[in-house]
Amino acid sequence: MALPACCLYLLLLVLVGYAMISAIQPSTRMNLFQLTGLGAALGAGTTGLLLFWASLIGFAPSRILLAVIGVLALVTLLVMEKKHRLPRPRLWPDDWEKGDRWIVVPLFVTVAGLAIIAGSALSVPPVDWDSFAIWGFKAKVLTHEALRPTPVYFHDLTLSYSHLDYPLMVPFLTAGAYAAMGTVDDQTGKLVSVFLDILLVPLVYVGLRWKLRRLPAACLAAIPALLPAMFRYAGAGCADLPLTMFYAGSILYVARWIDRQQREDLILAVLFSVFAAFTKNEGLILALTNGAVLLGFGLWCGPRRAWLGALVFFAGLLAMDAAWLMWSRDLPRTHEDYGSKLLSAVVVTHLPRLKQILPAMIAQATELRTWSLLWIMIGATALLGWRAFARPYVLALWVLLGLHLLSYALAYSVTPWNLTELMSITLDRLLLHAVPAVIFLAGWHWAEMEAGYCHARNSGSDGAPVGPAAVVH
Amino acid sequence: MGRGRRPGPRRNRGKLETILNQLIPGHRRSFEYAAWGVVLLVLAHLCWLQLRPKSECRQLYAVATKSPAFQAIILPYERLDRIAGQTRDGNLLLKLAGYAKTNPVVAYTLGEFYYRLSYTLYPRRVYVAPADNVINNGGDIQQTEFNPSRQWLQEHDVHFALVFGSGHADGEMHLDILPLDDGRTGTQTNRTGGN
Repeated sequence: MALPACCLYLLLLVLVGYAMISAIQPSTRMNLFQLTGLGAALGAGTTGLLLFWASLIGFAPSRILLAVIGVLALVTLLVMEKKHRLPRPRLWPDDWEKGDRWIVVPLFVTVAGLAIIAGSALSVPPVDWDSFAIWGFKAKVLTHEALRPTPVYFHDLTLSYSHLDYPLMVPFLTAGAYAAMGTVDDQTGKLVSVFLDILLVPLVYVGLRWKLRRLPAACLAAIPALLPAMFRYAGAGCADLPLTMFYAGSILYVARWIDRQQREDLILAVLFSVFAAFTKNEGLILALTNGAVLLGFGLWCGPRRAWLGALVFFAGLLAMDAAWLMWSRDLPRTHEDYGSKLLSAVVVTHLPRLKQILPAMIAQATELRTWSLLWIMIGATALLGWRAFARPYVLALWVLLGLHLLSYALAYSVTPWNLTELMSITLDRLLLHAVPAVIFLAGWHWAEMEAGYCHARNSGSDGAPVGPAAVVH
Repeated sequence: MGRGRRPGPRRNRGKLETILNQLIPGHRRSFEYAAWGVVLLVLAHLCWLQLRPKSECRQLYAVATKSPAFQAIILPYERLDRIAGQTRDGNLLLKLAGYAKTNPVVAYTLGEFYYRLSYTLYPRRVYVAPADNVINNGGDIQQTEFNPSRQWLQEHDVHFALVFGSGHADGEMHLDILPLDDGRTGTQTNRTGGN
């Protein structure tokens, strides 16, 4: 009985996501990947936040609460349907191009990789330290108690090892599954973890298809599904891949806003940044970086809308994260507390440690057994599609990637742990967060290279216009 | 002077043609082939990585099929989870005995035991130190002198004590359950663990 209930819960997440898309991007055409990638990611993030807010006012996750969320999603969909603004999902695209039949190859490889991850994750209970000691523990606490009054757990220093101050997106989503199942079954509950982790692949595909043709987009999207780091961490029950997934959404829509300055892109950039900030502490830094880049590149493209965009971004981020920031303000920070250290003078005194950290990061990125040629591929595609550097959204993503890696290097510099030991354990996991940016950059450089070719081809001899801006999902 | 217009600046995709925005002759597809080559090489290498012995994919297969190697990993957790089942109700006190109090080698295992038991037993509690002691690892537990009074145990609904210890500095760790319900502390009832 637990498994069907858990599956119904996942369907609820997709339903909520569909309702969110219909509210944000009404009347758009939507394909299967947008529904399962973008829709499910939006649904998961929204449901996690709703469960948190409900818990703050005294309602722990329950079937009634989930039913209320489901009814709200259905009402939204009905309203949009009545206004004839409901996006219609297309199961089969009607714009096949020559050579697209080869898509079955990357698709098969991707599905095989994800199936292996899912199968193995679901066959055992959580045994990874972080999964049970940090995230699983919090999920149990949140299932049993609402956040009002604050559960004893969050102030019990003997449980400090479980990082009492960590954000609660993944624990709330897991607690939601436990509520749906009516029992704390952590083995079946790993289905939520698997679901969140593998969402990264369709979301990356959606981001690539913004600019790139179907076949190269599918090939590039297969890469995260086959990465050894993905096999290592997906389905374990940790928050790293959900953070990567939400971060992928945030940088995609920040880039789209910089490129097109459309209202819905800004809303989605805000939402995904909020979700990332509520998933891991690193997410808050990444969300702030998104805002800074959005402002900087906005000013480059057009000052008036840039200020407006940045204002909306930071206001939205603050408004939706305010409850978490205020509630977590008094939690004991007795473990790493990177946030305070990065804002103090300690970061300056520890700068010499970068001499050890940066070479270790480069060595890790070029570790073939973990990353294959991924980080080398980005250099190669950037060289081949070098004209993409003229695009503000591509430059913005390069800046985001640089700031991302720099912020992690600085965090390492102030760590209370033994640096060598910590980096050997965590570096691959942290670099995994940057994988969507790497793949998007590879794809968008490729698209620019093809666009130049296609333009020349169209202006000279044969073919249909297939520039980057012409690609539809 | 003729009235013929000066040729305007060349444009590519509606934008001024610059060094970064220039036309590429249609026959020069070598860049595209190179990009395909790079991406296919990455994909092929990733597939090969998963076909190696001891690859992540093979390890996951071992997990899914519950191979002996995997059983060895999961066994300690299953033992700890069984302890939770044996202590029917009430909270637990985790005590250290013998070399476990001082041997830094066991700190890792001790931390693992404590984390897992705390997770499995929740909403019941495992007490290992006063609530204001920060425990971030097994070493912190070893540094704690925690000998709660009988009254404290009753107030905190502690029914069992788990004794984590070893008679030898490099000996096998064991975990014993002692009932505290009727005050007969010190009576070994069940030897359950090992590491």
